[in-house]
Amino acid sequence: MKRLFLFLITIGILLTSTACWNNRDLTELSIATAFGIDRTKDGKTMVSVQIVKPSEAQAGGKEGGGGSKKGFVVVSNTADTVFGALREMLSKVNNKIFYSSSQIIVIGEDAARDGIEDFLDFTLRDHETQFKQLVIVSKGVTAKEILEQEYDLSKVPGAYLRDTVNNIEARGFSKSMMLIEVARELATEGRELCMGTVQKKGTTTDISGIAVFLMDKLVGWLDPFESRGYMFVMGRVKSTLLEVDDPQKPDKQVGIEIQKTSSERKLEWTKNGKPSFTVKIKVQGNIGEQYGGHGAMKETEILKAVTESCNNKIKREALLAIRKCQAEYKSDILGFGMKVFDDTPNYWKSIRDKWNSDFFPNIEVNVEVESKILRSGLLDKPIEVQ
Amino acid sequence: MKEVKLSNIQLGLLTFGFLYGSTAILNPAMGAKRDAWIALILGWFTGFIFILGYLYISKLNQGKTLNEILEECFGKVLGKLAIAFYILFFLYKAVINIRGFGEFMAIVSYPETPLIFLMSVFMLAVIYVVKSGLATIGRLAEMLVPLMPIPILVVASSMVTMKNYSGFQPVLLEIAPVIKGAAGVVSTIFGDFILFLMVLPYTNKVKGRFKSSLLALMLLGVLLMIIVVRNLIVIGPVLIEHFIYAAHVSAQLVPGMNIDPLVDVNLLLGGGFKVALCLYAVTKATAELFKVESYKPLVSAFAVLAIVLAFWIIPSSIELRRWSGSLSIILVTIPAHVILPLAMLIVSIIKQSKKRKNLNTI
Repeated sequence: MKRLFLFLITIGILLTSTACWNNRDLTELSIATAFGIDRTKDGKTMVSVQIVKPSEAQAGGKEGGGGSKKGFVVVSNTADTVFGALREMLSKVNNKIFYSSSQIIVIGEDAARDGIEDFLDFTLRDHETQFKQLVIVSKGVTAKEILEQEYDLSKVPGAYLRDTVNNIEARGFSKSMMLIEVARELATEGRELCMGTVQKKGTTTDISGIAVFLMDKLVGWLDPFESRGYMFVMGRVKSTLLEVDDPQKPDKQVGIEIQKTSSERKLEWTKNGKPSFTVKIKVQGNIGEQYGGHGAMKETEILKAVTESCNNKIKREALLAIRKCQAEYKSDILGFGMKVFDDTPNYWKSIRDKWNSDFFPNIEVNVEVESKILRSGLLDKPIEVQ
Repeated sequence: MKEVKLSNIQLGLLTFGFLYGSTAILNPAMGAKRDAWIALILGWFTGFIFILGYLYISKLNQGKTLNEILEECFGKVLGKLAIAFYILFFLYKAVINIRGFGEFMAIVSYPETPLIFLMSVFMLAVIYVVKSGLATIGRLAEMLVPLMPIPILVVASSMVTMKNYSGFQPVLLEIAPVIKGAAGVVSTIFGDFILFLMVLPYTNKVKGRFKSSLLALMLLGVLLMIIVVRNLIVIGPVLIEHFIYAAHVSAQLVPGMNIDPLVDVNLLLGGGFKVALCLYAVTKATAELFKVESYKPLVSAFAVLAIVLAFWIIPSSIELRRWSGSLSIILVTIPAHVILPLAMLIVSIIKQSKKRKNLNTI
């Protein structure tokens, strides 16, 4: 009897306690795919949320006229705080908004210029937001406009934007940052924050370039090539295509597919006791494309010349990025200060407040590049037109 | 001799599960930031010495529980006072752990569920286990503890590919946090082994005790090292003290999958063993102190008391966090972990040598 009773109770508990207290069904939720944060002119925070319409996003264009309908809605609301804006959004949206599915946070340019510290706290503190979601800054447009962008290839813009950001791995022209990395770079001493940018171009968005921050405020941009230089210096390039002049016909190009990179930095002290750096970049690549180069040069000579110009090109891009950060933005996004901190913590303590303004712009940075070209694809040399 | 028998394997696994308990939730030695691993090694070695001492006390007083040892060492009145102190101490440990795990569930997964409900459900399982006796706890350890390292290793191995992290340099900028971190490791993890003086008499072999306990300790040290280093690499020394539950955050960051529920389950398993053994020790010691036949009727009463105390002593999560970061949490354990065991050890050694002398003279 007692056993039966216990058994029944166990079954009862098993059946009734399968979910959490505030159990909500999928149909009772608004699924967010992206967040946008903007600063309004009167200093308030405007939060936009991109909510997918599950039926539209799924059905696609199959049912005749259905194809022209958008698969998502963008709702925005203004308040003093991010959480406040999100909660008050329920005055416009029927179902509670589910944040965990958000793929990307877009920070508007104005908001970034005002400082992003305030916005990060909620996203880190809330238990539903994911640390893995990406963060990006919109350049020239508000975050809301980016969220409202429709794409021909996908009905879910948040995921589309995320995948485009992840494509940076193959391009190297921007920097993809997870939320946790943003927080880490903000909190790290001797290193300033920077992250990828998104712009509107024609009927679609374009992700290239880097937004440079000083403390938590946006101070400027790096163009795509400078961004790649930065990525080379940091050793973050996974793969990219480098175009260099053909040694035989300088008006034609050779495309080098970079496949493996690494970067190392060394701290040295100059005679007057100031830090100087040597950055060693090592890359490996293949010849991916060659525009009609026929001439008297031997393959080994060509290889040597191409390697040389590869070195020069990477070095030039790296120096461009470093010089721009030093001279124009005075922001150590390259993390040289971190190395100084690691090596001489006591010296760092005495200079850390002045590092970005006085020391970093004047440090000497040398860049050494060592490229290796390993293969040339299926072709030995380009075909000849006769 | 006592009737319940634990095998040495069960003892080792129980040690592992019990000590692992709360550490997985609160990142061990995180106050030391980038030197956390040094603090951990320091705490580990100190813990080693502590546990050797506790095992030695048990060896000198073969087949006796903590109660009997205390009474024999300090006499009837003082001994009983010491027992009462230990009961309070184990109760405190149970309370702080229940609240800790309750808060963990409330913060990480169930923010809108009432805390009392979470804690009661957790406690129901613990009551059932403790009432079933030490043998059940041992068998449970045999079943569940081997599962515990798996999620940790999975998370750690998926981090191998992580590239950009801020390193461990510069080492030892400040010494004080490292020492405090090490002391914290001893006081919240290894020192609690004193509770096993209530368990050790119930093992069926005297011989392998040292071996199995110390082996569990070694494995635990390695595992904690993996956790600390992983958290440092993944979250970074600058952020680590801002996150209450570093292990949960690291698990969330595993690329390509959501493994964090698995890790959370792991934490609950560890917490279950910790609270169950604390409750067992409290009720068993109370029963022996007041000469009650069986400790079993006391279990539910003390469980309810523990829940009530958990609400009463710790009003909010912030309070709990402040308490676990303060120096007092270390100081409060010193009488139970250091002073009394040391006194027990010295008295036991003296008594033992006297006995030997008596034997010789006869």
